[in-house]
Amino acid sequence: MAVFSTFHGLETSKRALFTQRVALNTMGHNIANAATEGYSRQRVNMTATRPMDAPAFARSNAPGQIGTGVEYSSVVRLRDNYLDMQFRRENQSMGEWGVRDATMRSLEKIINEPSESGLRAVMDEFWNSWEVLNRDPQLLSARVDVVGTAVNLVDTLKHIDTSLNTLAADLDNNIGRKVTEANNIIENIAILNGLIRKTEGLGNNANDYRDKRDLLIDQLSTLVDVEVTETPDGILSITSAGVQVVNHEAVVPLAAANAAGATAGELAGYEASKAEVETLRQQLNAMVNTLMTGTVEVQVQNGYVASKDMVALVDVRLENGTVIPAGETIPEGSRIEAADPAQSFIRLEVNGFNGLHQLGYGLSNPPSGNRSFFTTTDGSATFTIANIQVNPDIQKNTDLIAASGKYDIVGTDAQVIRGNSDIAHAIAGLRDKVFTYPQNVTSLSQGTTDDYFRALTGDLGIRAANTTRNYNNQRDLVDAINMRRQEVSGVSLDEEMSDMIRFQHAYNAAARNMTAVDEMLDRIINGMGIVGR
Amino acid sequence: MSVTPLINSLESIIACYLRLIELGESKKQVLIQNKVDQLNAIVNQENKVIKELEAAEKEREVTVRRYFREKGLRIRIPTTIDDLVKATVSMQDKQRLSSCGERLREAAAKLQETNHANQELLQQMMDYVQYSLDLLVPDDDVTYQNPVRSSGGTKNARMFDTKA
Repeated sequence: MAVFSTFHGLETSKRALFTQRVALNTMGHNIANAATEGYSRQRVNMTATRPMDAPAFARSNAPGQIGTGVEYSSVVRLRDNYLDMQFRRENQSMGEWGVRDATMRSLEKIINEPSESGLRAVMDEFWNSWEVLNRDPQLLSARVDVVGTAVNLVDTLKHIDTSLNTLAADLDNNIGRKVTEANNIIENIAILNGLIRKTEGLGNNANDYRDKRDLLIDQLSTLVDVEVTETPDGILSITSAGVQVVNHEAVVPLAAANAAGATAGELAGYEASKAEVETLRQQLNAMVNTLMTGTVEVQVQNGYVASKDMVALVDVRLENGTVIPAGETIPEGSRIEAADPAQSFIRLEVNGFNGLHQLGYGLSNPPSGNRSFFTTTDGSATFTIANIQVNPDIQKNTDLIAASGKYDIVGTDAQVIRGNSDIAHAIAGLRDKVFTYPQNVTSLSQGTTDDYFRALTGDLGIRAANTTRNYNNQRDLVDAINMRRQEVSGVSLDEEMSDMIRFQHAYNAAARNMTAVDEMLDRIINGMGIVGR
Repeated sequence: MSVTPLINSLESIIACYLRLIELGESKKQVLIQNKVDQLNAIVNQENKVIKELEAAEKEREVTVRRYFREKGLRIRIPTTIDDLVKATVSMQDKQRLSSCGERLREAAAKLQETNHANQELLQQMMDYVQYSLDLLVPDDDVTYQNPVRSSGGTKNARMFDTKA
């Protein structure tokens, strides 16, 4: 007969009491963390303890094995790694699109179309003022208005430039901030790696540490792309933005420059946003520069006096009868007419708004031409929204606005024909001039400045709508996975309550069993063997 | 013949689209919250609307045909709203038709967008289901087997019959 202890029943009940208590404690832990972010439900795995056999004695003839009760083999968390992976993948994209969406909104606000004070309205006023000047080039109020609207236009462009700069600087700042945030998380993950290794090396499950680490990785995935690899012993390595940031317990912190390598997450969003800002700036620069310097063909009346050395598209005759063939240089100050007597005008090719303005003469005598209406603040030949300004000389003296294309010699003095508005007319006509734009910046390569700006705002609108749609989709996807994750890992209070009743009754029953064993022992110890006493 | 019947039939198509969009939106919520039982109800409703849409389309075809016949014009197939606008004389009717067309285009685009989003959500769910199934169904030929026996094809030891 198998030999087992007199107190075997007490031991069995004790094991049951201990194990059920652990189950109850774990359940209490679950309930306590029902609202904890990133917590996953834990479960106690119970097994029957090794049954009683006494191999040291001769083989027992007693039937069966005698059970010795219960023990818990592990406390595990209920979690699905695949969902974690899916979540992080979608969360990365959501982080990126969220940032891009916010940027597009800011850009739309900067462009501010359609509105009363937007660039298009300001440009309309500018062109209108030239039309007024064209009707009466002597009118002082018209001249003042031209300068006023021009300054307004330049200010609006400057304002856009400043706003774009601020936005770009904000984006850079945010990249710095997010990198610091990411590094903080990375560091904590490495620390947890160490804790988990130490805990699990002893054969336990580091459930709460793992929850914490998973939550940190979730948070990291908002900021930057994460690629997680885990070794069988629970140590993981993370690669983000092309850098192995966590390798076991070693950390390589990210630098702001690494943001360019991010393929997803907010960092990638900021990089993409910077590109968007740059694109819009290039588009506006292209518009301004094309208007200022793009090729324009213009006709000037016979009798025009060259304001500078220039080249005509047709043969021209000077006053002294010399014919200068098309393509050759006409010296400054020559009074010219078309060599073909049937033509009353000469065709010239000039560079943009400024080129046209340089052809003309202001009101001052002696006449002086070859003056740019717009100049750059930095002396560069390329106009941008940042460096464009109205020629300060013209701002001081509106007489210098070159509306006239002709002057006469009265006696020996050269006198501008004040009522002539050839140049103002040509400039007002630029509004409807079809320019060719650099190919790589917008969808529109040919059109008037109005067309170009319309295409630019349209483009922006479509891209903004796209980012918003992508962001919303991504958010839905993340929500859906979160829901599924909650189904696996979330704490259901109903379920925990029914578990509580189960464990509580098991505990009570074990205690009751102990009492029964106790009574049995009482009978043996105190009630037996007292005959004859 | 006035354009009113044309516009009416277009309006009923737009109405169908709008209802499909609405159903698509509620489907999205159901998918996000993983409430599969409600999904069936929505799909049923969708089928009903699609039937109505088919009927409305047929009706539109007939109306368009009649419209062109009465105008004495040759019908072009497929007929676009632009064709209809061209065939109409009154400025007001032209405007009514093109604004109707614009709304139809918008509704169609929105519906496409909604369906696309739902498709992504479903794809994500299917990925998960596929992954879970892969865990349950054992891979074939992981280890070497007796070639004679394996050709016999006794592959019953799996939880799901993948051929089903």
